[in-house]
Amino acid sequence: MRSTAVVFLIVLSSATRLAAQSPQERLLFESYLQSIRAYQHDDFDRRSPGIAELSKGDFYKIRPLLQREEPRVIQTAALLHTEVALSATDAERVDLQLAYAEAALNLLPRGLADTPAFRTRWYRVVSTMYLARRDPEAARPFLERGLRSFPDDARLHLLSGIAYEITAQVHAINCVDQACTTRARRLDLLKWTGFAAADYRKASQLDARLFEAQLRLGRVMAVSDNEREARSLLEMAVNNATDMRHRYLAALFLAALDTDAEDFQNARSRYETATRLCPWCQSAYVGLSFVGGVTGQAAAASSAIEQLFEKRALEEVDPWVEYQFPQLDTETLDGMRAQVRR
Amino acid sequence: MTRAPGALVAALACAAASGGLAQTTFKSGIEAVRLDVSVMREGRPLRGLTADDFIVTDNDVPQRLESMALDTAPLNVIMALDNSGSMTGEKLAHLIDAATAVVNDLRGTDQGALITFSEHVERRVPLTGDRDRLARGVRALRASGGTALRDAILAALALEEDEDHRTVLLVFSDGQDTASWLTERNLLEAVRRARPTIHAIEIPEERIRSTPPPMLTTSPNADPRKPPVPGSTPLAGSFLEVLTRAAGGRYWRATKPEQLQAVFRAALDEMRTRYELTFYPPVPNRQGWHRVDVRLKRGAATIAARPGYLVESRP
Repeated sequence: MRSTAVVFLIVLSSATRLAAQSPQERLLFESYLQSIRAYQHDDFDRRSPGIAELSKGDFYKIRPLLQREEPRVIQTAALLHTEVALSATDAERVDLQLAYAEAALNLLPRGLADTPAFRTRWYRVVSTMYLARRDPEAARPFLERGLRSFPDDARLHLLSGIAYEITAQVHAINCVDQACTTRARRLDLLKWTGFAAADYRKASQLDARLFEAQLRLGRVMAVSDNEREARSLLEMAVNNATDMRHRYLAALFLAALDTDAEDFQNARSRYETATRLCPWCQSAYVGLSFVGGVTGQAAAASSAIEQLFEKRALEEVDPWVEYQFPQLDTETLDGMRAQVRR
Repeated sequence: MTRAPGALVAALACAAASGGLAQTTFKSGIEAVRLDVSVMREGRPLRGLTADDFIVTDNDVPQRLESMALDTAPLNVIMALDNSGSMTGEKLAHLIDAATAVVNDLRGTDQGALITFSEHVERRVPLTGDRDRLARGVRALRASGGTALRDAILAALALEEDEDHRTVLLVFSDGQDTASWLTERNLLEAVRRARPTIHAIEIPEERIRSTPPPMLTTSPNADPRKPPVPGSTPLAGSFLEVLTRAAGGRYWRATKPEQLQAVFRAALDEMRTRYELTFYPPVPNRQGWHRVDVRLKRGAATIAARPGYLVESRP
């Protein structure tokens, strides 16, 4: 379906030039504009059939008329289709709506100062939408097109690295948990972590304050035999990151490295640091209990679990869970919404 | 399965004399080794066996045995139940019925505890003999979130035990771990040092979930650098199956939620119809992993017991 959508976009560009404006087309476009206006006034029903069930043929007819509109209307159209994609449940509709959105984005005048920023943010949002759906393969084409247009966007590199890391995780776990005995599988894992590492490095170079890239690079290094670099990056993150969640995760990952090295004293200390950073986070208490158990300190193992039960906060999400399951970039999305509605 | 010698090389276990029904601690760390053993023939527990019916070897050295039937020993049954998002509707209703049946089947001196896990591990009911409280805890189950199966099992193992009861874990899950910090390797290490027997009931994911997201088939915390823990390989099947083998328990697979109640009851029945075999290794006992093999002298049977024990140095 995705390839069909791409073909559709190619055909679209030539069809656009040939499009005629019949009264029916004008009527169709007027209805389309009404949806856009409703969205701008935060009064749009995402299930409205006029947009949600818009056919390719109708979009062919609308596109040349949309091109004549002001940039803000075009931006709104792109965002409107994105919103419909976000709420759609079937993959075919998601693909189609995102194809409409991307086609609309491509109508924005290139010379306009605002255009690159808006398009970059759109690629970020759409990529995180797929990552949040645990579908790094679907995110990949958007990341590639985004990075082709904006090769110096640190956040897009970060997202691209996350997509590779998720793929690597699948290989890593299958490798370990099913007794990785084949060299091919190991090489496969290193390939994906290598891609992820390259993106994280680039993101860090482009934006030294993007601590998540350093953190993730540290994690990726840790699982691909580069312990020294992993420790250095994670130490940096634990000391310098401004977001508590990143510092927590860095402490957790360092504890895992210490555990693997059977340096249980340091592992315990790292886990204790993590519990101070996030007193309600489950993963650190579990790690602390494990270390207590393997060092023969049953009371410490039990005590860590008791603390977990006492301090847990069910309404909060453990940063370790967030790390594995990236969420939709709602902050960027909200910014785009505010921009077209102002 | 009758375990052939060496078939579960270094699957993790420990049967330590430092706890259980009676114990004395020696400087070597191990005085008596107690094995909690289940013997099944044609799907039914084999009753009335004595020490003379068994052959037990410790690193291939035959041991002199004492035995005791455990059918009257009081139990601590710790239920660790999956209440993740995939457990909604009919499945949850059948799980509640099944767990309630276990609570109702507890005997006068038995105790129970309830731990649930989605991405959060919760102790709903601590160890108690109060069956009403346990039943209320079970009935309050709601499904949501991911699955931190391994973290929940570790938490259950860390619960305080009491010396008058035999502690068993009854784990239920319908899918793959999606949220644990602990790796499979870590958990197997922990089980190797723990005393409780672990039984597990599973409804395989593929029968339940129509479209498992790719990440849900993974546990991203694993470290690919280390070779797999001996005895944990190959993990071609369910991890729970491997885990129960390492913990001397049994693994049941239900294919439909409707089967859960019968399977839970069968699990409780199996927990009761076990034997405790005790032997006394030389003092001081060699440090490290001891491979233990349990067989019947006569006749075929499916035997479940921890496949070994660990002697650690003590300060």
